[in-house]
Amino acid sequence: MNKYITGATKYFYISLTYFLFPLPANGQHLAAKHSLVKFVSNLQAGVLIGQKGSKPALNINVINGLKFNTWFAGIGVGIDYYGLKRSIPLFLDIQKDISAKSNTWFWFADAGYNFPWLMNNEKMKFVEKYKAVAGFFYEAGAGYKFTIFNKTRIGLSAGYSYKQLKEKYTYPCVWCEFSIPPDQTNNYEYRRIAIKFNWWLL
Amino acid sequence: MKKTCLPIIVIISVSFILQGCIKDTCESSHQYSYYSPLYKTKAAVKANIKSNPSRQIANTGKIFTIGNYIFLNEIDKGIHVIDNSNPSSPKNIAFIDIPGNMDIAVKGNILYADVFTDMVALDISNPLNVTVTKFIEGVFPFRYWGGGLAADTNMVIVDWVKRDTIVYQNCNSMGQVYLGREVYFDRSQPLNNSSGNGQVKSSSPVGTGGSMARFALLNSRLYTVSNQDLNIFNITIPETPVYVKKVAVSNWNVETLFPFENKLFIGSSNGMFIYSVNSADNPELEGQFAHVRSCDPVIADDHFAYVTLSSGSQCGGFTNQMDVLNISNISNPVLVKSYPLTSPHGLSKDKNVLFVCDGTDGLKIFDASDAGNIITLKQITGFETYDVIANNNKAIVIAKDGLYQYNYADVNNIKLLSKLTIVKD
Repeated sequence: MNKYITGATKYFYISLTYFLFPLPANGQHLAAKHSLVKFVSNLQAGVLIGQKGSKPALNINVINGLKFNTWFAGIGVGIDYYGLKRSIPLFLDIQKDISAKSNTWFWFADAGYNFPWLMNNEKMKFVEKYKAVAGFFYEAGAGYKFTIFNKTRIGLSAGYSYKQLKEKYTYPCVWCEFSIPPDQTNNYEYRRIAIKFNWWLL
Repeated sequence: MKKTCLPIIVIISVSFILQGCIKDTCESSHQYSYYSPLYKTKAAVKANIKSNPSRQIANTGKIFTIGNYIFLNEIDKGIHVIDNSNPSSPKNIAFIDIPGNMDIAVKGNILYADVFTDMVALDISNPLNVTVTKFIEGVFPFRYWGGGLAADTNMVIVDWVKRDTIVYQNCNSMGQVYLGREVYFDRSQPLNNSSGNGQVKSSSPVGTGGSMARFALLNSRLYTVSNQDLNIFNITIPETPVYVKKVAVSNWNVETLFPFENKLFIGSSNGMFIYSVNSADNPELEGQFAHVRSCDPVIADDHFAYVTLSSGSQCGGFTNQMDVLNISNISNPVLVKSYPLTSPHGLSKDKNVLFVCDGTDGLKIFDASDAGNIITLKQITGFETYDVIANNNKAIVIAKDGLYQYNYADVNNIKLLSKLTIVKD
């Protein structure tokens, strides 16, 4: 198998791993070399609060990217327990600090896809050709961040978060002579308020 | 401290205020295929009942053979005329457009066919130029289509156009989606048609039908069955059939009709009924044999009736077997033995060789010289079979993918003669 991994593919995997799960020391190293562009890891943990009556759900993300002045762009991955179906969001993230001060307001915007990672009790029962399909994901909001150490910032953010997932299936054919069950798709659209605690490693 | 707390209070407060504005949704989409009818006037339909250019065989129904020709029903559309003078190379030579046609029978040069609720008699002495000799209206009033469609007095459904549609509804709506009256859903349509070896001595040669037939020729009468009726037509003058009357059958869900000597064997989903037609216009119930609910094509010989019971279709039930009944005493058929099968449909018997179409298990050939100990001689697999006519060492088999012909002069070395391919819509 390994012999089929070309040099370019190998470089891509190394880069992706490095980008998503970097060591904090790397950030420091890059920061030292390039004073304007810094590698930053943003860890997020929070709750997703949906419509009245729904259960708040846990959401954890890790975003890694580059910070240039007050701008930040990165790639994020996480886990989202909201709604009937657990999912893995994979997204692009942009953040903008309102000022260059150590304590500042900021806004952010994410867009990507939610990939289903269903637990057994989340899968539909008594159906055929069942398939959970990825759906669109976006989130946008604002927050406030504080500098607690030289290389560390924490903050609180809130935003509107949209998650879409689809399930494709058909019911078993019992009286096929009279009616063949149609192919069905359930399109779930979850709209939540995401309140998150943020931790930035510069 | 105040400076730090204020943004946190603002963020949390705004979040909870905005929560009232959001809502989750789930929309369920159902992708249906359905058929929508195409109408023609009855006059236009009658004018088009003639030999038209041959068509690709797609959705086969009943089969009838006479002389060197095979008449193969294309369900609800008409009849393929196949020149079988060389069984190794049959030729699809013409198509007779008969909308709503499901059943056929041939006596001499006259072919009888249903046209939805009507019956037509055709002179087929020249299969390339058939002509209508008689049209009898309203003799099959119980023809219905899916979706509750019934026959119209002036318009006839000549075709169904397949359409795809997606219907959206809330995931929590459990109700059935209704697409309107003039549609019926896509469905696989196994042949509900039996064929039998209806070889009867008559003044005109009589064709051979499969065990799934609902038309049967006996002496100078054409008998047809609908769901619960036996219709009688006088065909003393074959080209001008005369409707005689309707006789109620002792059971609902009548499926097949098989003539043998002066008896009519009627297969229903609940049992087999034997009617005597010693008085041609006054059939009398002589015997019956009840069985579990299932489809049951039936054939018979002098001493035994062979009934295949199959489940998994509109007939319901869970039985798949062949029952052999001793009919020496017509008034009291006795079960000799049941033979387990997979999904039996049509069957046919020529002397002691019994052919059974066993669905996806293909064609099974048995030695039936001892009804109590029927032995498998051969099983031909690789196709899904529905009906068979075996006669004079030649077996014509309708399968899902084609019309096969076999030579069984040597039952230990059955040879495939030809295959006419069926292309499904």
